Amino acid sequence: MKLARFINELEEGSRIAAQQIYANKLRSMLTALGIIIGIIAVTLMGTAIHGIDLGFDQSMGFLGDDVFYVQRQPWFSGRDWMNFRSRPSLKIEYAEQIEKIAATTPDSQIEMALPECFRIVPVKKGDTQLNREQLIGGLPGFLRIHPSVVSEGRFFNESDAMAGSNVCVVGFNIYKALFPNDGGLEQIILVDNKPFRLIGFFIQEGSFLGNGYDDTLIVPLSSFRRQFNRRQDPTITVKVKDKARMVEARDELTGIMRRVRHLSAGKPDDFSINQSQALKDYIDPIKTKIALAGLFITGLALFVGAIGIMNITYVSVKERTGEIGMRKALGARRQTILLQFLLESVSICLLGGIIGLVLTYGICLAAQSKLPSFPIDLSFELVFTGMIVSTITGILSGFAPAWSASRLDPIVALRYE
Amino acid sequence: MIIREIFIMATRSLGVNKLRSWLTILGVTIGIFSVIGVMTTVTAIRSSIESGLNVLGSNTFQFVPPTSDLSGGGKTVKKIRGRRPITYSEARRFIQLMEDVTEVITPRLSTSNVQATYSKQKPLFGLQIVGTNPYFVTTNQFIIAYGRNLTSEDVEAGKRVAVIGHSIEEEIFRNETPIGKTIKFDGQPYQIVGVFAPKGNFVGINQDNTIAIPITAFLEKYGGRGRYVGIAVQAPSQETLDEVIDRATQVMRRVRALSPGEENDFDIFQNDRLISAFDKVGNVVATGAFIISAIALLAAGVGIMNIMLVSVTERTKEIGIRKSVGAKKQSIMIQFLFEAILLCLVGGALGIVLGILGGDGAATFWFKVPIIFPWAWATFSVVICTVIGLTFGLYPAYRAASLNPIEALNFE
Repeated sequence: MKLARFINELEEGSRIAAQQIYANKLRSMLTALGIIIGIIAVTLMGTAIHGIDLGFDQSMGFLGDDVFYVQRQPWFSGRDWMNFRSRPSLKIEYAEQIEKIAATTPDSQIEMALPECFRIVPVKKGDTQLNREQLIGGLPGFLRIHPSVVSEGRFFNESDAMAGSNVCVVGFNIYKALFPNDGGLEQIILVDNKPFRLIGFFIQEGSFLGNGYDDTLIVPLSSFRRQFNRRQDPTITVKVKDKARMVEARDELTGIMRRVRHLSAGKPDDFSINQSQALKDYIDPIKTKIALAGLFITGLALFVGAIGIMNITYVSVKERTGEIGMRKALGARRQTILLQFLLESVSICLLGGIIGLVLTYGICLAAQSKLPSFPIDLSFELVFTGMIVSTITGILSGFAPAWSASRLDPIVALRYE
Repeated sequence: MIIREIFIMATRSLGVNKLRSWLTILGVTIGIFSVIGVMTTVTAIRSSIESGLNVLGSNTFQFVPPTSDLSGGGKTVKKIRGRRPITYSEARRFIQLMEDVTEVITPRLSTSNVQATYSKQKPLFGLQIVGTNPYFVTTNQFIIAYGRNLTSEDVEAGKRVAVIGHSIEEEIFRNETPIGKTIKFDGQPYQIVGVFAPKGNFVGINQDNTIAIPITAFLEKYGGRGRYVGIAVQAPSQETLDEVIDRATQVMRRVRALSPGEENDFDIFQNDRLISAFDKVGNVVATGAFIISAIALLAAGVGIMNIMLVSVTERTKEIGIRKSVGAKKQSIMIQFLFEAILLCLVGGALGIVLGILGGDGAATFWFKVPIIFPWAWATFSVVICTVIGLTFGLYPAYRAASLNPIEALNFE
């Protein structure tokens, strides 16, 4: 019974709202325009933030989410760098020792461990010089930890590593810069003025932020150490079996490293285990800050739109005071009046929200064609949120005027001129 | 006189619908708050980064190794022309030949990741050793906290003396003065004669772990082969800077024995360029921030237009009467425009105050940068308010002004 009446009121309210919106076309359009501007701003900002998030995750992919990096210092050490620098060096043999201990551990989470060395070097071929490229000295197992695909040629193998031959595999961007006309395989290039034979290059990985291994050269660790720096601390890269059990794996690795380093029970760790999570943990608060600031600022536009609705609904209540008085005198209840005005403001908001979302979609498509590398994903959630937000905006901003309308004294209202 | 009348009329008619006027003003306040708040924060952060970028003093430029990639980012593919490094003897010759222009010339050799020990303490790692002369403090804007600077005699005699950075003092001389103590790095003892005042981090590079020693002592220990001597030159004033750069280029060409047709085989780097490169990025960010923050202002403008249209409709009769007793089209228009501008200006004033408070609050709270008062943006937003009032008030005012008096009087 009650429900039937509510539905009846809803029906009638919608009809009146539609009539009113139609009768004041310009006014309704302008009011909706305020909401449209707000919704476009907020959803575009949301899409941009989401896109940056996605791009960041893609770029982080090359660090691997199932890999630990054992190093002397943590990636984000801040002020304590001096303490970390005085820790004893890491040794290449650690990788084998870790694997050996892990092999004898029942239910070990560690799959493999490799030593790697890094260096920034100039690269030269003929008249072309690249000034700052990342050089990695690694073992033939490199690709099992860092999944990358050799486009042409081959990766170095055990016999290259054993012989310590000067061969290198380069990232796509370096290959293209040195050999714009292709034909670089088996050529000699100068890496920090040492001749290296190019035996392969990777496929292009490029993403929105960072380039994976596109700007990297990889040589056998043995030749790295002979040609560049014998004493440099290696990074021990450790791959785990199951990335869902990173925490256990980390504990296990800490234990093994303490054994390898012969640390007695009371002593603190003199090494750091880094993982891509650390980078995420470092960047996430910054991302959150930017996202909050962006949503706050664009939210202000939506807020201004809401104020506009409130204002116009007040006007509409005032204009129709006589009508409200009449309806009340004929027995309309407070809720009926309240519902009627709320319906009016909510439908303007929804109208604005829908138009705004359609326009946002158009803008996204346009942006996508201009910036293909930026991952744009106008998600269903965002559309859904947009609709919810505009409905809530309508209710919140329409409530005060609708309430004041429902409270009008019919006698005063009827007399109103 | 007339202006006063217009003002009184506008305030009166705005006063009739107080709630409505205040809501409209609130819209503008939020719009201006958004612009001023964001721009204040952006400006405050920018100015603090810019002051950090002034590693070199003003009027200073540097000869740099051609391989150093100062533009940052991107890949520089450079054709090399068999450049040889600037040697110390070339640098000395250069200093001699430049004597009549400026004295403040610093040759600079450095090596990083050095490990230092003091008596029996545990060694310090990751230090930067700079071989230079007394003017290093001037060109690189260091201040001697206490003790003394390097002297010309130190440099001439190749004395093993050192001025140490603040971090080193903090780390190993906690309870004693470092002056007169002997510190050892790379197996060589040096006597400490002075300590630099803290300089802080610059883009992640700690400048307080620098140790300055005479360049001659540096060469004796580390050798000069293959090392590029950086030279920083300070011009006597900003006005003479270009002149000095020209002169220095000529002198360097002479020192390097380049024949007239040859290209320069060295690069000159000016600090201003780093700042202007940063400025470019800063401008893009600021423009983006401005556009995003101005969206709210646009929404507020739409609100004003809407309310003014309502107000015109409501006062159709009044307009009819005024017109029939002889009011000109123009004065009706001015009346409504003035109302719109007044709404905007009141809202704008509130928005400026809130925006500066909010913006500086955010800048100091989250980014720890000193507060500023953005006069330019404040003035600009007063102008914006007027323009918004004019733009969005124009159509309603025009509609009011072009009402036909007979129809307007008939309006129910």
